Amino acid sequence: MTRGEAPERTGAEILLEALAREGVDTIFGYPGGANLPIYQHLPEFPNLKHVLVRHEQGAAHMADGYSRASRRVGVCFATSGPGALNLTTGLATAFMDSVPLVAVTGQVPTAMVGRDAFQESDVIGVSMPITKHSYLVTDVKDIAKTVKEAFYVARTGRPGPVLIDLPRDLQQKMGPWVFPDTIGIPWYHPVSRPDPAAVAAAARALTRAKRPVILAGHGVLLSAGEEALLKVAEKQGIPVGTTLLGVGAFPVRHPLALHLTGFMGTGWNLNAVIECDCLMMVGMRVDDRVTAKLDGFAPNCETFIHIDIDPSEHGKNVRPQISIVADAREALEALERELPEQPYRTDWLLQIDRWREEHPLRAKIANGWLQPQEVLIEMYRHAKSEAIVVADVGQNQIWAALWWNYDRPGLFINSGGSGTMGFAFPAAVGAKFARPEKTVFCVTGEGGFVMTMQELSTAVEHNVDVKIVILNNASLGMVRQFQDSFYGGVRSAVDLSVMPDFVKLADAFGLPGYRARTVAETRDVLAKAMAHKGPVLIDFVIDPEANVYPIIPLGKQLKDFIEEPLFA
Amino acid sequence: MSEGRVLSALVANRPGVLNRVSGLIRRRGFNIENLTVGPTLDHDISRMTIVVNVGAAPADQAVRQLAKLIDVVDVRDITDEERVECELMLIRIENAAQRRGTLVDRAGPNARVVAEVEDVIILAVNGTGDELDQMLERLRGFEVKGIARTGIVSMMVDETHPHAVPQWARLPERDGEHPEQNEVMSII
Repeated sequence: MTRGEAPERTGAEILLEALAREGVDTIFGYPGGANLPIYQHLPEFPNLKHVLVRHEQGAAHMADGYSRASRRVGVCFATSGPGALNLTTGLATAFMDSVPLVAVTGQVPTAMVGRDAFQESDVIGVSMPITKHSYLVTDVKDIAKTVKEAFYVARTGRPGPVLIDLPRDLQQKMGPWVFPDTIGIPWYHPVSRPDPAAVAAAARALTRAKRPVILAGHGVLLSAGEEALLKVAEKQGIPVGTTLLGVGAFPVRHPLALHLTGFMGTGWNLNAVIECDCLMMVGMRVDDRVTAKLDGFAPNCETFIHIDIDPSEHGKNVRPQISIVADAREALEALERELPEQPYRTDWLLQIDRWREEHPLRAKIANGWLQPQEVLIEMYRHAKSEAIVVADVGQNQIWAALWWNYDRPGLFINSGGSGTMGFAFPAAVGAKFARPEKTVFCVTGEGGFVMTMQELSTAVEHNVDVKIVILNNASLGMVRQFQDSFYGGVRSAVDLSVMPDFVKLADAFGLPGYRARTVAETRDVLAKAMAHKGPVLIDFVIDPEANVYPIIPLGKQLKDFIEEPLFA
Repeated sequence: MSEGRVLSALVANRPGVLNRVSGLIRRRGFNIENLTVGPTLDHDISRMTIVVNVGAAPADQAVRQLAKLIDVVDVRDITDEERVECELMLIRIENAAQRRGTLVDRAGPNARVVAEVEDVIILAVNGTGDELDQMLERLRGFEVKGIARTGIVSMMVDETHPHAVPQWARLPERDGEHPEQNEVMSII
């Protein structure tokens, strides 16, 4: 259709039509003065399901959870000023974890911009460091192409959140409806195939190695590279660990699995990283939570191989000998073709098995308190490896990552890079919208839960079947553990014993709420919660002194990891 | 300016680009020594010359971070390439009328008098950053009361050098490589 015969529509309609063209089916949002024209026309688009959140931060986290659970682009709306600013924590969370989102914010009318108008803030300026890109639309003719470009930028290359700031007058102005075929940024070529020479070098290094290890990060999941990873690992019997965001990239129960690496990784994983002579890091940033103190990270490694689609991550913290700038899946597939079969390295694998026996995950039991690990084990009996677990931040996050068998991708969701408390519950709601057929657990602490608990109303309104598991230790557990271990044992501002009665709170919001203090009660309430179709909250009163182990003390090296004491 | 690395960037001529570039350099912990921006022959593209002090860190980290910005068409470290650079400086000298001849001699052939009001002379000089520094040295003994410098612009000499042409411009059209629209990929 040429521009001459294009039908005229309002900017709001053009925006919504363009979103529909991009395949959007769910929008998490909140209306306000500067995006009212969009909401005026929203009912005309029945295929765009709108979920009214109770706070804009919830909208951003829901879009994030939706994206991580489905590998699609999440979409959220907010109005100008405070509405848009409330999105920022969610945008930063998505940005740190490379999650593709498109956020559409209303802006005050063009003529008012820069005059400190009511509910005006410089949203482009504020969001610049926490988005992959942002657009201030200045012409109604640019709306459709901006939407197309925003989705393209969000999901290609290293994915990330993109913000579109749309002044209200442009939402009302008439313009031609033309959806472009091409993207107007010819220099942006993010799809990157691996350099065959580098792949061949990596294959040679792995084949030559006596003690190779692979670590897998979020990039493997974002690129759907888990099958290719499995093939590479199995071809030569190379053990594979994952980062916190890479959980699910490799089956935890696989004989070659090293489970979680880094700051709170398993003993057998950390020993394997320390002793390996060739370390291949795939789809990860190699940040401080993975390396601990840099000079103690893989000190015996002769060849570091780094695969990541973002060139700026190569050598940022660890200088690799072999650098493959590429999509993780494409690189792994190419590597699998290059890699010759050879007998498994029995000595190395047996050594890892010994470490696995010497350093098992341990938990306290039978000290009179319910232990968080017991809750997770009971949950797992119901969920098997089918449910999605969305964890918050802190001790609950690490327990949920370690004490569960994630055998497939997309089953563990958490805010790894940003560490955003309050993420889990709205993200779990978003994940359930994306994957309605899956059981979805939100595993959170009482501290993080109350940061975004207003979304209980959103969950009740749409009868979103999320099982909310509060591991309630009446304190900011991870901070308390750090204070006990690294800050002179001074417990300062971590007591959360004054909190709502969560069972009554659930009742007030209109959903069932239960409490459990023992394993027997845990079994009982979980059976009830699993039978219920709709949101349900369980307050698990757990050991207030329970700690996360293993843990590497701050500023120490991998080898300094501390395990759960045998006799506490 | 010895520690500074000279980066040459082609950027989309869009509002806010300067903000994105300068903000990113600050966020990543590098210092901008100077930054110039101006149009190119293509109206949609501007050229920035950025001198950054990266300290002990390698400059490629700054270049790679800048290259990630969607509005950055191309960026490279041209410090060690064969290149020319030029900067413009205005110098305000007071009580100079009586020694005008000496002043103009000392200033050299790259300087010209652009304003002369009563006893005040304003010179405009162009040259490399180092040449301008040396020229200020030569004006010792005069009452130099103020200067305004533009910061350098720089350009590679060899237009056929592979680095002189942005990589994107050398790539064949890659239509059909756009990933599918928001499609659900198989996940579990």
